[in-house]
Amino acid sequence: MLEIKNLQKVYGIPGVSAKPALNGVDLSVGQGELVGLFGENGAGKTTLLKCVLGLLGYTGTITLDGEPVTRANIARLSFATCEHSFFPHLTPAGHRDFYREHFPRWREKRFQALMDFFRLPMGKAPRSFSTGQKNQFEVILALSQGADYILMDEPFAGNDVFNREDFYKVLLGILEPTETVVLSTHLLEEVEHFVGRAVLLRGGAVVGDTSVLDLEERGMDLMAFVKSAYGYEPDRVSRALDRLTEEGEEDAP
Amino acid sequence: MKKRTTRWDRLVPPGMNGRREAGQLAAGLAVGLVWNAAAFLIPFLQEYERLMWVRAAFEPFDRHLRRALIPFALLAGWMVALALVHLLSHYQESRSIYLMRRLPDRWELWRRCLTLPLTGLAIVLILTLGLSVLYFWLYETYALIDTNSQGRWYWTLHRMFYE
Repeated sequence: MLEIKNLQKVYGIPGVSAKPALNGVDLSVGQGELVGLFGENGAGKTTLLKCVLGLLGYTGTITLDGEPVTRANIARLSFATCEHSFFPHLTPAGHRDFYREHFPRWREKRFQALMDFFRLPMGKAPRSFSTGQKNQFEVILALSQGADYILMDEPFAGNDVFNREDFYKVLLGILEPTETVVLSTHLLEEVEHFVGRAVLLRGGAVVGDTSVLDLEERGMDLMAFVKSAYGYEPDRVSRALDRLTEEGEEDAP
Repeated sequence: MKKRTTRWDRLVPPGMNGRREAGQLAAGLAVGLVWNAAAFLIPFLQEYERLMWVRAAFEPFDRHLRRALIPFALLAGWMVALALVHLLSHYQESRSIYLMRRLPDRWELWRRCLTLPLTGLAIVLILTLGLSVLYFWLYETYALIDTNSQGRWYWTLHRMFYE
């Protein structure tokens, strides 16, 4: 169980240019869950994932099966990010050797299968890959590390729709029941059938947390849930257009 | 063609060519050593030929040594720059720093960024000290010394050996 309690993160210098990014986030993610992390830009999704991985300082507690996240258990977490965390000049074969050396639960078979499936060359440095291929490679590494909790931050930004769909299918096909995925994305409709739970962030706080099954029972889709949690006004656009049209008429000679 | 990974590659950020960097470092040290020796010995021998006949005092030791230490100062600067290049490479074209910082082995990042630069710096330091002592001995043995014109380096080494 990944447990986050009262997580707070402030960017900048406190008292001078402090900008709160996370305001007391509480979240528990059990093993085997597929969690979608949603929210507008700046909601705190990336910050939350980076805090979990220890890449950013924070206040609050983050534990993995009751233990704080340290070097001793960090290998249980993997990370795929749209910023990419691979070595651009190292071939996939070199990455395989590097990961194998550092992550004892490296999944060789899965890595090879995914590399073959996406037809990525083993002997070519990823810097020469297309954006889509880079994203694929990033996710392949995160899935092959042998982690229990796979954190993904907008991993498919720049991939075409077919590519993304392939990936969701492959993911659902290969994940073991004990593997957990936390997927931060804007692609609500696409991941609706992939995730089992939706967590919604706004202004650095969790404003919605529901299972997709619950939503279905309530006759709601993910988009409707997000809109209601965000207090989205459906007539906002028409009202704005009406106002603009009125102004236009007043301006007319 | 597939590049073979060497044990040198384990001393630089993944994807960099460790053997080439080690070779460049060795070449730099060799050039520095030759430059250093030439910068001290050539003027010293010229002075020896010129001044020994007229029994005049040699140029102060510090001036001789400063000239000779220029290549080592440059090498030291190069090592600092190399360490920075290694570290910054984890922010270029991707953020591999995220991976390096979440490795179970906390020293991997520093081992790969600092081993070669620190080794280079240590060699430069040892050469600087060793050659300074050697040159001091040459100066003390063969030069005609005007103690009034000597500077800090001379007196430091002098104290080291005579006090």
